[in-house]
Amino acid sequence: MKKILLFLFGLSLMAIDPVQAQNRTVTGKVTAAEDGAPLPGVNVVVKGTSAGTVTDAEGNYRLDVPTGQNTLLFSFIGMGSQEVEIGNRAVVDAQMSADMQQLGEVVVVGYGTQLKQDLTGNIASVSGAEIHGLPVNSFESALQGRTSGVFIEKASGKLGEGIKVRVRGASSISAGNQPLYVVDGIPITSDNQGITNNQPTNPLADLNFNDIEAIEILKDASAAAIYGSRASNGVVIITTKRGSSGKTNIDVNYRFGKSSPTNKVGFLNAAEYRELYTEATLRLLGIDPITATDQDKQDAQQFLEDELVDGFASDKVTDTNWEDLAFNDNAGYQQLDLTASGGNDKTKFYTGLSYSDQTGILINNEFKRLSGRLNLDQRVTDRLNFSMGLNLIRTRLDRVSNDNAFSTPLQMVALAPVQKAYLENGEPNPNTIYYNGLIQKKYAWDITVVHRALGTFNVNYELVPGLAFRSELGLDLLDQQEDNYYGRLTQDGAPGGLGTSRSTGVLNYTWNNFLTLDKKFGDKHNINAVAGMSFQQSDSENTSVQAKDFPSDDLSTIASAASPVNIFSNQTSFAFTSYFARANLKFFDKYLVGLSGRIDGSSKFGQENRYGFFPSASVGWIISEESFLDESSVLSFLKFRASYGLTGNAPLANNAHLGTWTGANYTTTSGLTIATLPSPDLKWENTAQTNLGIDFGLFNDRLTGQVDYYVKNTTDLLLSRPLPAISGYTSIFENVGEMENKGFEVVLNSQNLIGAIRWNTSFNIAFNKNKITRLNSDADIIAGSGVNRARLGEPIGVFITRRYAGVDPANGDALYDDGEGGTTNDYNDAPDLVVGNPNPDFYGGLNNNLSYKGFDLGVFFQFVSGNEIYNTAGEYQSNNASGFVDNQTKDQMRRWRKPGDITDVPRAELVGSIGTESSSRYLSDGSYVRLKTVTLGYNLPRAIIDRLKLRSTRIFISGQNLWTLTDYKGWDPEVSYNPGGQTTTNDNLIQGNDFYTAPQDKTFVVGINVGL
Amino acid sequence: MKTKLYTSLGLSLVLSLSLSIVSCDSKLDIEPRASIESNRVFTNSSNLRAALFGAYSEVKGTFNGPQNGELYGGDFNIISELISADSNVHWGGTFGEYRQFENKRVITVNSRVTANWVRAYTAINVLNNVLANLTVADTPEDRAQIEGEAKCLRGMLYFELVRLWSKTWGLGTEATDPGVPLVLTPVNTVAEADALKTIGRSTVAAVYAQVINDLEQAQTLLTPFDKNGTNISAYAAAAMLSRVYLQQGNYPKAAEKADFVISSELFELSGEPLDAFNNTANSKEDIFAIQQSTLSNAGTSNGGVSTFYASLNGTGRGDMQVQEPHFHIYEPGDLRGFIQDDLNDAATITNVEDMFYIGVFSQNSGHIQTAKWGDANVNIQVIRLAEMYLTRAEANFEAGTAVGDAPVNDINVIRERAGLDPLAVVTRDEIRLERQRELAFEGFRLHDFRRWKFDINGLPFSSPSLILPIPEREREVYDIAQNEAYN
Repeated sequence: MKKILLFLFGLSLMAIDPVQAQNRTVTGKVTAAEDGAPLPGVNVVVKGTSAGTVTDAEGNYRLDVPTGQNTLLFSFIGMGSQEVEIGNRAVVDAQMSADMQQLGEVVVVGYGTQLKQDLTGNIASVSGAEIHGLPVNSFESALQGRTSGVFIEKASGKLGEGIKVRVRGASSISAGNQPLYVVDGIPITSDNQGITNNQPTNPLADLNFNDIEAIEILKDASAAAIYGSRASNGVVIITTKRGSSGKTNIDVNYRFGKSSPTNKVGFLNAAEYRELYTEATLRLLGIDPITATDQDKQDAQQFLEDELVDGFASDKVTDTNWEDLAFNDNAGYQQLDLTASGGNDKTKFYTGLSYSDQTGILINNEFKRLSGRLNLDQRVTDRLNFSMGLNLIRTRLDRVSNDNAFSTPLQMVALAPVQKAYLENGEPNPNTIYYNGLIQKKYAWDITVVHRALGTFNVNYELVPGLAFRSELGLDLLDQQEDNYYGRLTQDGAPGGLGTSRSTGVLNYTWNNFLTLDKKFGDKHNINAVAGMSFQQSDSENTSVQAKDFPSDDLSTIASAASPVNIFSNQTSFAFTSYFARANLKFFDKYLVGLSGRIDGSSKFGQENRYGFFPSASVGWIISEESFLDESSVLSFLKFRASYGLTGNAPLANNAHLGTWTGANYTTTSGLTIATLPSPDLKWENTAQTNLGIDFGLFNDRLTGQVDYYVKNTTDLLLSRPLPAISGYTSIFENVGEMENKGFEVVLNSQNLIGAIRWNTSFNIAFNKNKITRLNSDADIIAGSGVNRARLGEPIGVFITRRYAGVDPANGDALYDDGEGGTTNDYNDAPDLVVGNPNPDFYGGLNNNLSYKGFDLGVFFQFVSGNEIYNTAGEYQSNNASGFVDNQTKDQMRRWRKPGDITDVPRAELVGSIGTESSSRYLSDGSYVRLKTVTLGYNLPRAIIDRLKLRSTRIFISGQNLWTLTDYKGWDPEVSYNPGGQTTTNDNLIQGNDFYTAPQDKTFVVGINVGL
Repeated sequence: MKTKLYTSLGLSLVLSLSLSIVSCDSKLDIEPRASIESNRVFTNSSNLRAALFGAYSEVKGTFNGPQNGELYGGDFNIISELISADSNVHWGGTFGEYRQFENKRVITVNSRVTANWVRAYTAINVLNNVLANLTVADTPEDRAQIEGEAKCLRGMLYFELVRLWSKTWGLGTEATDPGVPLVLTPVNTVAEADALKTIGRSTVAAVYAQVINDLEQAQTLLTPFDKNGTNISAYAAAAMLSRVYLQQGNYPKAAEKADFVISSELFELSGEPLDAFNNTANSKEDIFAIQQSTLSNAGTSNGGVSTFYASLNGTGRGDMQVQEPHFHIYEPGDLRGFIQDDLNDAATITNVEDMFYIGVFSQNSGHIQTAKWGDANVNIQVIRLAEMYLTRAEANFEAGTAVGDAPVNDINVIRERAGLDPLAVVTRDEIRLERQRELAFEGFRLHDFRRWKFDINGLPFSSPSLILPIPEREREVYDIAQNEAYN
């Protein structure tokens, strides 16, 4: 590698033009071509350099232009860009119109920026402005449906929890599938840091996305390979806002809203419950419900009351809707943002302060975030720049229990409607058939507080014009404190109270050093190159103590407890050292070549397999620059792209290659027990990705688009291969599998109307087909006790279980496909079959923006199609009253009742377990179309604003998740519960599961933005 | 010139930075801190002993996320009681896996079947590792003690495995009936693990032979260590041997081993029957008990013996509901058949005075629960002295001998402790009834009924439905014969 570096240095030295640098200052005003109105926020960059600024509120800018540079590049999101020659002018004005090329924007790539027009890879960009103000607590969920090929799924409507992001499908089974997140050049901590007996938390929710200027998602290998071993799952690059010289702009945004669940499922009322369970009990007692006398029924009801359900026979009045009680009537949201930015030639700043408070749709669920950021840029000399960014954050999450806990709010739906929610004295009824979640609501709390500091400190030194050295030091400190307490009346806390205190600290730091070269040869050739190194280390530790028997529910600090129940601590670290280089060459303004490579060394592997090399190459051809297309009146832009490259992926676990023993205590002595088998040959997963793409612009770029086709082949897949458990081990981690993702993506943007009424439409759709092409044995990889598996020749996580074949009309038995064309009522006789796929066939979004005078309207649809959802709770919620006494979904009333009945719900027979075992009975189509966001805004007319001495004022109303079209019978088709325990494999395989999982929220927001 | 100077300065800066990082390759050597590498385990005597304790921890049914309460932590007991359940006890809980045992309709993916199989063989591998590394013991005494305990634990585990997963002893076909795979050497590499794919199931007779071999050696090795604290002792090994021999119908050996324990006079019955249970330290009646504490137990809310048997404030789910017919086995005045019905909702096990009580905890309350398992943090009795009297009585009766004492006297020892009048003569039925009364809900029922060739809920003692399936996850990984009822 050293040789490559030296070669690059040599190359850079040759390119140096030894001319003394001198700057001149250019000013100007940017206005809209249509109405002459000033355009604030336009990027003005000296082409071919990193020198640039942004226009102020009046559209004015001031910029230092290095000698030898003669071109300014103006760009503005939604408008595209234009190049203007400076000549001898000191004042360069520009007019921008909406019908200009959109492809001229600058996009952030790893360790640098590029013109979108010159990209040879596939990068999706979303501007911060597009997602500001959305009532979600983490920026990834705001991206949902807005970027093609990026599948985003929020696990549930609970706040602050993990969000699944898959860039072009899953590329791993046992290592991570989440992309790498890079904020201002620094990889940040994004993995779950929460306690293991609850759903994962989301450290990305700490980011205030009002601070975000732009998000770029590097999707293909040529874009991502610069991040080498971290790039197989794509890279999400977040750039925060920075100040520009000029008058200080102050913005105040306030918004508030109200939330409710997107859907309620509906469970039996008291009369239906009594009818169904009387019938079920009669069968248990051996009495045919058809011929049963009234006395038999009364006896059966009394029997059930005596055995299981208080009030079943005696209380004919109570009719509790437990589902309603699980939800919070006062769910809502408010957020206040204050930002100020400005500066002068030397110093520029951006500062943002934000407070948000979201009250979840479930009881006891709240998320608050306080965030402050300061970004500073200081020009020390013409050649030396310092910049820094500091973000301090505090979040507080009030959590509810894991979905599989009796105490989680939505498990209240299992309670009998014939029982009261509250006693007469106002206390929650403790004598329900299962634990009453209202006791939890009143007597338990679970709070996670995170303090986070993100800092970057950068130096940029221009060695000679076009060649600069940059050093970036980044720090991500995460301190998380989780405290929970279950009072003495709660199920887990009885009799003396149970408390847990857990603290987690993660120190993650990165140091990047690199040279950048941007050099023009003649008029038509250009080289843009970067070479350097990076070191990253992350150290995390956590300690938790659980104790019981507190003196009083009012004194719940751990130290006051009488007996410890659990003590746990862990420390773990990983480090990466990396060397990287990239060159983008452009010949004759139309032939593009990109080369990049990265060598990564990781502590996650043994000595032998520590380093991996991840190269990529790409080419592009801007055909529209060819003379034979000059005259085309239809085609305004056309580019072909092709790329190929390798990226890698490492296991999340830090010592997966080692055979280890771990502590196991017995009596007061601690013992050692086996933990993992050694896997000394463990190495990187490798993904080779080929991408072919076309970018086009038609009708003077009124219609632009992008079509990409890709094939991602992952080899050396890290797999947990099942071993004979008689060895003492159930699995071994090895590099043996192979997986393929193939797909294509289409993005279309059109300006349907321009002029007084403007109407833009953007549409994206992505098709991905995942297939496991090699496994290490014939056996499926099974995740937890769930029905998702990895099977050769099938997509990751397919549902494999018995296929339900309906009900025997003769006796009401559940029937299963016997695999031989017939059916059987013996579950053990039925084979496991592939019954469904949790991966969507396609997904995407459709966005329409209209504006007229001061009004703007945005209507955004998002869709997912072709996936199935398995309701793991079906065995309890929809078991035809043949399990325990859980309340049932309404559809169970169509159970088989007498010979000859044709139905798909078996007979009701208490504890008979008829058709309740895992099968395709609980599988359903998970496709949906959702009206994700509607926003209507109004900008106050300039006359009023001027009188108020304001810069701008906008008021808006907005709705989130307003309407959903789906066949899914559960709460919400956007759902992902992991019933198998939090291992990486489980997280990857277990998809599309529902288990009393909270639906998404429907939120209405009203807001105002004021610019001073 | 100035430019060139800057340039070379900048470049040397960059180069030196890069080089300094290159030399940081050692930064990539990060050792685990929450576990230790396998090759460091068997390097000294104290680690050897720690590994033995690791095996005890596994046998306890280590509390470990969703899987816990296996083996002696609860499932050996509960599975035996539920598979043999007729009208005496009812699973009233929500866990369908356990309901399948009661219904005798176990599915091959039953997660408790899998979890117990996995946990048992995990413990066996830890024990095999210990037995393969005895040379690091400091002294011959240490070595004998560790070897004895490890062999006893391994023998116990294979005994439980063969009883639950194979046809019962006593059919005359033991020499050909498939038992369980016998793994007796440590597995430390993938190759060693894969090699077991062809090992197959040893016969029932071979597994029993291995069990007896391990336990006999354990008894010999541990003899110098008396009661050996709360660990396995020579008496525990002998007591377990008496159980094995009784299961085989080898009455002279069963009587001999039980007598070895009783005649040592190191153990005595506790005052009242319930005093033998819910103790934080071993009672004088305990020959071997799983040691539990608040920090180390088999599970407090989703698994473990008290989770399913108890229904008290803060303990248990009240799932193992004792039914009225169970009480037909008791004579009037038998302390082991009393039911306490005056507990309030705040009651814990310290408020329970009778052997049974009406459960009080919110869900599933109002049923009859046994008081033997009322606290998740106290010891779990595996072998206690009362069993030895019952075994000696039964073995002597069947063999027509009086090793140690006459059967009637042994039975009367147990009867008198339970507040009953002594018998003048004892019959086979009386001996068997006494055993059911004394050892109710301790996991004996399935094995005793099969030994006595009793029908179980209408099924003959030899019914294949009373045998657990080989877990499906095993059969997907390698070729291992499934049991009859699941083919």
